[in-house]
Amino acid sequence: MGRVKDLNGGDYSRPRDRAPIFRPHDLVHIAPEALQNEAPDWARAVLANGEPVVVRRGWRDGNRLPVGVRGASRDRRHAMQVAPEHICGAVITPESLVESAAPQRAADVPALAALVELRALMTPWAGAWGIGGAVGYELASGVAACHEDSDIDLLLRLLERPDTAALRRLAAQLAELPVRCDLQMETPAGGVALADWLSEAADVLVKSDQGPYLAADPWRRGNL
Amino acid sequence: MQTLSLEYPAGDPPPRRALAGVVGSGDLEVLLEPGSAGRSTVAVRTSVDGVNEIWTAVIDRIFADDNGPAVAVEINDFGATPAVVRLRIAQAMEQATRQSDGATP
Repeated sequence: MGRVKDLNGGDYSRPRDRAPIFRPHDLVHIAPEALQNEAPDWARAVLANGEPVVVRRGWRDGNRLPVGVRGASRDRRHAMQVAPEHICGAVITPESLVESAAPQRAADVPALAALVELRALMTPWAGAWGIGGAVGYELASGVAACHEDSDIDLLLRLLERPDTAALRRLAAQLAELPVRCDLQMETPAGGVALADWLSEAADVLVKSDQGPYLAADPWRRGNL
Repeated sequence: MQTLSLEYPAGDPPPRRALAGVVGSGDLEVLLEPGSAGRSTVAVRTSVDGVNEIWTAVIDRIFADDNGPAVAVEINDFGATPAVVRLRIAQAMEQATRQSDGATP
């Protein structure tokens, strides 16, 4: 895997035992001094509380990692770049969170209560799926990031284009859960919403480190 | 939840309605319908507070052409970035204005 802290981006659809090490939706802890002077006070408070930051999609020059500090509300997101010396400890992957014990809060938060059922239906995708968003953040940090209406953001790494029937089955199963689940597929081209791929649209929206773009098939090589 | 209503001068309405985008974090749903000739309207519902100025700037640019198609657009936003907003509206606009279904490669 090269250097101890290889910050390079690449194909995020690859299995986790291969590079890139730091991928969008991963959580990392960073030193508070990584914040620039212009960072908002709430972002300082988040880091002072020992909370992680979320790896973002964004241009990578190999020297700095694009991350975002997650505040308590949706308008509190602070994007920044972090140097390797300010990254502390190991990366927390969305894949590692799927086995987490449901927090005490499952009684109050439907999204947390639905995790047991979710895990069961994702069994065929073991090792390739993970949990991001507020649920992932809460599982990783113990901070009460979810609320009563939180949905579940799922991630599924698909190096090869899967059978459409299997994806339709998965979408149907997710739709039966008592909580809304949004699944993003990591494809070789970038992140694509499962709902978008299964829709009638000719093109899907691909979220890449270079920004979003439309493509007909995110698994076709030479797409760009 | 915030709502935003915008209005722009426009040309003639396009031949058909179109849908683009999906419900989901960082995305948006665009429902675009033929509008009344000479006028485009855009209604945005967003779950993110405090972003009306950004939305207005992005939409103003997209509808800057006074002779563009006259459309009535409804947007449900789930925290999309300006780049995603532009792509999704362009995707819907392309579908709505295409001369005939399937004719273009």
